[in-house]
Parts: sequence; C-alpha cells; structure tokens
Amino acid sequence: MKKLAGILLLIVGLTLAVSAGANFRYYQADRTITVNITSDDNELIDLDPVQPYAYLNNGKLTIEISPNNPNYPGYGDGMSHNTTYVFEDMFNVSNDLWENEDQNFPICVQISVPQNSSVEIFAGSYNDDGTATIANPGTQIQFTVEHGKPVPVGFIFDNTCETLGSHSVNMDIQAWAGACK
Amino acid sequence: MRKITTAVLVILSIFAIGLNTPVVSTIVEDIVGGVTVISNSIYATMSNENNLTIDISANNPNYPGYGKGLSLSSTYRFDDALIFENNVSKTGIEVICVQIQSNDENLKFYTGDAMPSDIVSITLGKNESKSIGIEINSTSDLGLKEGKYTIYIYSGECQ
Repeated sequence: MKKLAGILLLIVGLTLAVSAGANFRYYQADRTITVNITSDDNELIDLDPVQPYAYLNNGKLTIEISPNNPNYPGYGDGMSHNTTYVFEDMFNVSNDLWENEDQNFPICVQISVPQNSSVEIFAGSYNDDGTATIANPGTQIQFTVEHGKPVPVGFIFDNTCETLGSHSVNMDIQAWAGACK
Repeated sequence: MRKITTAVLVILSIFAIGLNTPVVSTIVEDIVGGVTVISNSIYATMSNENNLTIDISANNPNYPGYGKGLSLSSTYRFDDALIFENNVSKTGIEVICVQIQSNDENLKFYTGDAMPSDIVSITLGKNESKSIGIEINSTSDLGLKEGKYTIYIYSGECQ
C-alpha cells in the first residue's frame, strides 16, 4: 500500500511538471554562430596587397617601406627627408559579401589616417593636378565598391617635415551597406 | 506532330530560365518554444542538429566561392539577421518577451540603431515579429570560432 502511494505521488508530480510546461512560463534554447577568422585578403570586405610595399603581416594588411618588409629586395631602405612620394595601387578593396550572390549589394568604404601624419590616401589613379579618379587625396576618403570591381587605394607620403627614423600610423577602415551618398 | 515538338521546347526553355535564377534562396526557419525564428540572411543555414545557425565560413552551403570569413580584429554588424515572431497558434500566449543573451564576449545583439549589447529583450504581441542585428568582433587568431547564445522566452511583456 505504501508503495502504491509513492507511485501515485510520482504521477501527480509528473502531471504538475507537464502542466507547468504547457502553461508556458519560460523556455530556453541555445543556438550557435560560427565564424571563420581569416586573413585580410580573404574576408568579406577584403584588402589585397598590390605593391610590394604592402604585405600581410600575420593576416593583417601592413604597408611598410623599410628593410623589415619581407619583400625588401636589399636596396632602397626607405624614403628620404624632404621628399614627397606618391604610390598608386598600394592595395585593393574588394566587396566579397555573399549578399552579392542574389542581388547587387554595393558598399560604401571609408578609409582614414590620422591628420597631420604626413600620410594621405586616395582611390583610383593619381592625376597630375593633385586629384584622383575615384576619391581625391585626403586623410579621410570614401568610395563605393561593387562586387567584382576592386577599388585601388594609393598613398602619398609627404616627408617634408619628417625627421629621420621610423614613423608609423594606423589606418582605419569602415564600410556600410549601400553606395556612398 | 510539329505542335508536340513546340510544346516540348517551351518546357525546356522554362527549365533553363529556372536554373538561371539565383540558386541561393535563404529563408531559414526554426521554432524555439513556439516562437518562430526566421532569417533571410545568406549567412544563415540549418545546423546538423536542425537548428538555425549563422555560419560565415566555406562550410555554409550558401558559400558563393568568395569571402571566406571575417578578418582578424574586425567588427561586423549584420542588420536584421534574426527575426522573431510570436505565432500565437504555437505559443498560445498573446504577449511574450523574447530575450537573446550572448554567451560569448565577441558576440553582441542590437535592435534598430541602438548600441549592441550582451542581452537584447523584445516584447512581441499577437503574431507580431521584430528583428535583431548581430555584431561580431573577430578574434586576433585565425581559424574557425564558434559562439553560443541563448534564447529565453517568457510570457508577458519584457520587464
């Protein structure tokens, strides 16, 4: 008899648990997101080095004009004091977002370098009058990138006021869905 | 006899047009506690456990052959990546609170233009749906990374 009561209690307990669930007070489930972390030249918005001065340093795009660059040929240790260098096509920006598979999905890319760093950037080819075909030189430029049409980014190094030695600046790259306004 | 040939040709050409349309149709649907979770994102797919998952790697069946992932130490935001709907016929409750909580420091969620955070709560009325965006901060080491998040569903409005 005692045993039976025990079983009955168990059934009541089970019924309670089931009805609580059916009343829907609370539910929880886990889901996952998987991401492949890859080098700059393989990602959704990718940055491909074009000139030997640009290379991937542990997957990150780096522009380095010094003997520390793995492409350094053994000559031309850097840029001299009081000179201005213009490098076209330092690296390309591509739009490899998968959204392009079933629609036209342009992005607006903005590249910035610090002001007064003696570095300026531009997009497209450099013109003799100091302009560029896609985005004129500046410390912050914007341009639209369509899938399959990489945009080349160039650099101007104005070493007029720079002292000898090594200088480094950080470049910031942002992108938004849709063409630039 | 000629007529029949024409008919066959027409059918064949329709087939060819069908093949030309985008191969990727990406509406993934998952039911979590009666709540419908939908994604129109091309990065969404069903996992081996038959759950909705976001997979930004070449393992995703939608992978188009370019853009193998996210680069090191970058931040990506995907607007409206997940849509939650209170399907009353399945939940049986007119007002629910859906809470999405990240279990990974590199994963955040947001609604509209709000700043991404670890937890996002949305109140859903009868058959109402709302979308949330996903922010992914990639790590500083290469390779496949998996982040988990938990979906909590409560009856009534969010507190």
